[in-house]
Amino acid sequence: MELFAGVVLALGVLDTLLLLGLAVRRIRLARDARRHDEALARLRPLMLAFIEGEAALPEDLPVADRGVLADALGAYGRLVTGPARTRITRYFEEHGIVDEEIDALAHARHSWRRAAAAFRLGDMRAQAAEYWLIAALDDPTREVRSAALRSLGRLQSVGAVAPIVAAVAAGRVPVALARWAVLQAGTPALPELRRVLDAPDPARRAGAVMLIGLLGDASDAGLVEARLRDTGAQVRVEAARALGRLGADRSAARLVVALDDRVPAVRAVAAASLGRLRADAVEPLLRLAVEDRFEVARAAAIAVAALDIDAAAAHAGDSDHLRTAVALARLA
Amino acid sequence: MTETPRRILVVDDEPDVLDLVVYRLRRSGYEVIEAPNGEEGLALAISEQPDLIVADVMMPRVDGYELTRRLRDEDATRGIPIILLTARTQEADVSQGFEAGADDYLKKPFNPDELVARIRAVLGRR
Repeated sequence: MELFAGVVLALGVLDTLLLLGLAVRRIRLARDARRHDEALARLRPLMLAFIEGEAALPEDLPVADRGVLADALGAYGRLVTGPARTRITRYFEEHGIVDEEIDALAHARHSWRRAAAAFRLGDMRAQAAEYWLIAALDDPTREVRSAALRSLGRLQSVGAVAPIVAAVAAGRVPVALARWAVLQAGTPALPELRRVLDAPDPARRAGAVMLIGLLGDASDAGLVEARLRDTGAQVRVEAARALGRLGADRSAARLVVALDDRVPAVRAVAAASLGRLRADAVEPLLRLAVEDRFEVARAAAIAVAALDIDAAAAHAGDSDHLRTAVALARLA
Repeated sequence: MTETPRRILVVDDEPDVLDLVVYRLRRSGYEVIEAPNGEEGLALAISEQPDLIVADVMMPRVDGYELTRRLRDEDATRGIPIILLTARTQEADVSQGFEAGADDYLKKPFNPDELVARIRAVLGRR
């Protein structure tokens, strides 16, 4: 009985301590949030005047205010270009904030701190951090890799193009974010991407072809056409897709050959690209729409209906896909 | 005799953008009214009759395109020039803005100097 009472008492004390701990934590968080808001309200007019080049920021800020200022200035930096952004970037560089964040990115023990540093370096447009951000694409934590990738996009880093493609190929970063980051670099990224086309890893070649399709023009069609004969099926899929985007008429003949690829995904994408190119390929596409199956037949039927709706309608009795594609084309 | 400052309504749901635009426009000598969303923007445009409106495109409920269309439908606001601030700069997005009735657009992130220059240009045309 005494033992039972002791256990109940101990549990009661533990419960009270736990509640007390939670209450203290909540009070601390509320206090921190209030201090943050107060600091932000105090610093905002100074920051706006600084961004407009009308005043310098105070040098003797308390450590807590420096953090608030760095975050808020970084957020403003995301929104402006021209001299306003240059001033913000220079402030971060001259006050050692870039160096502090690089140090945190490279050495911080907690992954949230490394991710925060990677994120801030992008907002600061810190070109000096490019090397460290590229290295962070190999960080063991996904959130750090993603933050580094986003920041490399913000830096419009051409030097990061090949490492980004490698990271995509290895499944280390989200594909959509990687695509965005490389697109930020624009056409200067193309020479790097062309080099990656010869990489031994088919996943890297596929990533490079996909990005060339987004960034390149018809002059890249020859290089991409060669990848329709790649040993990697995913490379051929991306090549067929890229040729539809690049829009070179000369690619049509190669895409017609790809309609006989042994991999269905390649045939389906080649059919869609032929429709996109408005290519003179009604006959082979009709054959595919009638004789092939599932996604391939569907893609071929849509392409035929886009190219020659009368030809598609004439064969609608031979294929459900053609019948649907003709109906959809007439609705459009 | 001093000239009455031109009145500009700024509509944006992003407080940081409002801060930057409002500060810059006030420093450039404009009288500025702020609205944190499209609905308030519409109401203020009707009641305050500003000389020009700067509006964000991506806003919840009433976005910049919808706001522009509604302003063009109202007799009281039909003639007020509108500049859209947008992160969406695909050709189709820009056309959509002009079709809705915008006079100009500026891509986000934006250069504050360019914003003022465009405002002057649009007001100068009127």
